[in-house]
Amino acid sequence: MVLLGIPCSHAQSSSDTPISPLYMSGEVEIGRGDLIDTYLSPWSYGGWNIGINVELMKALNGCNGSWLWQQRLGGNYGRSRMNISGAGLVASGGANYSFAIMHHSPTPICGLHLYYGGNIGISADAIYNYHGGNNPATVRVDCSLALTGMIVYNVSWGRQLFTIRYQPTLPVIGVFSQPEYAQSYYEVWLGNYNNFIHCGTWGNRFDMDNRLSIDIHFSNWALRLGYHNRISTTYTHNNRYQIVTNNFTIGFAGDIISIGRGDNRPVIRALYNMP
Amino acid sequence: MTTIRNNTYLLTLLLVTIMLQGCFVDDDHFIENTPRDNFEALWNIVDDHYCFFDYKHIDWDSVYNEYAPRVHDNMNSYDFFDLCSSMLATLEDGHVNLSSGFSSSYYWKWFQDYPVNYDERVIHENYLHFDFFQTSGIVYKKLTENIGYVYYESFSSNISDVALDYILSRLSLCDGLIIDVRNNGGGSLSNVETLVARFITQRTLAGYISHKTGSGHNDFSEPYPYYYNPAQGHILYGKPIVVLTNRHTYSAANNFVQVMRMLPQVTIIGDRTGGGGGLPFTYNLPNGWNIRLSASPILDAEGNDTEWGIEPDIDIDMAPDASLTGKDAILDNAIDYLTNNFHNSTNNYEIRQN
Repeated sequence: MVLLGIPCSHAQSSSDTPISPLYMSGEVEIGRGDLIDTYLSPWSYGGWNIGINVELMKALNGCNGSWLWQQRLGGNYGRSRMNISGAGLVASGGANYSFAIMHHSPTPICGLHLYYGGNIGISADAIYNYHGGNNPATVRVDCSLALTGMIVYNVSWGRQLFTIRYQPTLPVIGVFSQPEYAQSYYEVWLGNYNNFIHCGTWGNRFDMDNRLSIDIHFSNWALRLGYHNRISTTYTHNNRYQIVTNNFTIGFAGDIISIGRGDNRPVIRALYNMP
Repeated sequence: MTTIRNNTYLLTLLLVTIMLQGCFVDDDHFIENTPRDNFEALWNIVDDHYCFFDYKHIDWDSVYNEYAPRVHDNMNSYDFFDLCSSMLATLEDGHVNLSSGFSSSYYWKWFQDYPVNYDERVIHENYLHFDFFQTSGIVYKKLTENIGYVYYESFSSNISDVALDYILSRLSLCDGLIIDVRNNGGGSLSNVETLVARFITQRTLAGYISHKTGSGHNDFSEPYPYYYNPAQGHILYGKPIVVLTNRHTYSAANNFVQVMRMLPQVTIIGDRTGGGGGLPFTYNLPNGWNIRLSASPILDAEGNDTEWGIEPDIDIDMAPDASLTGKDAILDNAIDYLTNNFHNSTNNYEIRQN
């Protein structure tokens, strides 16, 4: 049997190997994106941004639920115009994937859980400026190691259950691609990779991902409402690149669990550890 | 059951998240869409990115001092456009254009002040007799003197390897080949490589490319050598070649000439090319206009800049009355050159397979 849902109290009584359901969420997001890429244009641009995200999470069986992994896959697209005058047109888009391992640490506050750990992520973002020419676009490919964590607050209001979660992810070190001040991609294509690949540290790159969400639980699933903020910044060779998106999200979430008839094994959930 | 009594924690988190919205550093908020600010933006973009200031001995600060006092916020768009265009003309660069919704500025003097040296009608009527092949933007025919003639009007027309195989196959028995790039205003450098790759038999140094590394007028990267390889698996042409040029041979076409002239079997005949040795970049102005400018110098295989053009091996002009006489002196000279020097030369074309 496959269920999407929150834990059931009868599932806590067995001493057999616990069941660790796969937590899954899917969401779409819409909001505003602001960007500047001085390789393309000295000015800042702002406009709409949309995205889609899928998240998988699972508690690790062997650690009695104290560790979990998380995978995220997302993509976004936006179109922006110059903030100064509303002229010009820029399209931006990207895709990202990350894998995180986090330690679960309950707190003295009932329903409040902390998770912290590391994350490896890869992303590819492109900006296309419709002015054309030999510098119409930039593509930034980034692979980084990051710190990440979650504060999860499971709470009920009357009979309604909620899960409030905030998860920041802060890349610390990695590599990313970015052309020099006025280096054409044609020159890169010819083979000149000097100063094209950069070691990313907080000295030349600051990225951050912030997600705040409220899961409103229904019988076997939860409605996800939230907010997603993403910051990508690089400063290399007199070029400044920055994308900031602020999107509202809506989606669904739940545990995918398979329990046979008479199976009373305990269930260790990645996220929905209700009080 | 837990009640929402720890709202303070959540509120703090929410505030932190909202504050992160302010992380976008919008440092152009002080710029207004006025003629004054647009002029400053234009001047600064050129100052930061144009790559031939020192090569052309241009004092850009003096240009500012001359034009800035003439800008005022009550100017209409047309007057402002004309003023900016006039300022940009001091760069004497055909790659510098200002584009607005109503017009684009161009600097044409790199060919306007010189003989035209090309008349399509003369060639089509008197040399091709209105009977020729045409593919991939290339017109070609075997002339009566057993010389192959190829006219390539624009490097913006993509050349396919299949088309080149057909062309070179048809002209393979000719004593020599004339490649006419007069009035070719340039296009894609990848087409230059595709074409040159048929006339080399080994990896060949094509030139060097450099780029600005900062806003200083002399902030350049080390010139990076780039090479072309023979077109593997396709027909290579090794017989004598004449490349025809005029002042309207510009940009990528100029680049084509600068690579071809280094090959031993190639002779350049005609007028000096127009130049255009800088790879242009484009930037927005605050009002939405676009400024295109030379940003990345492309040097020849000897490390020389060709922004001012390339001298031909045989410098010759068409007669002013060519359209009346039907004689193209440049093409005639090329035919004579190939006929007299290389008649009955051995077949040097070859087909190479991967």
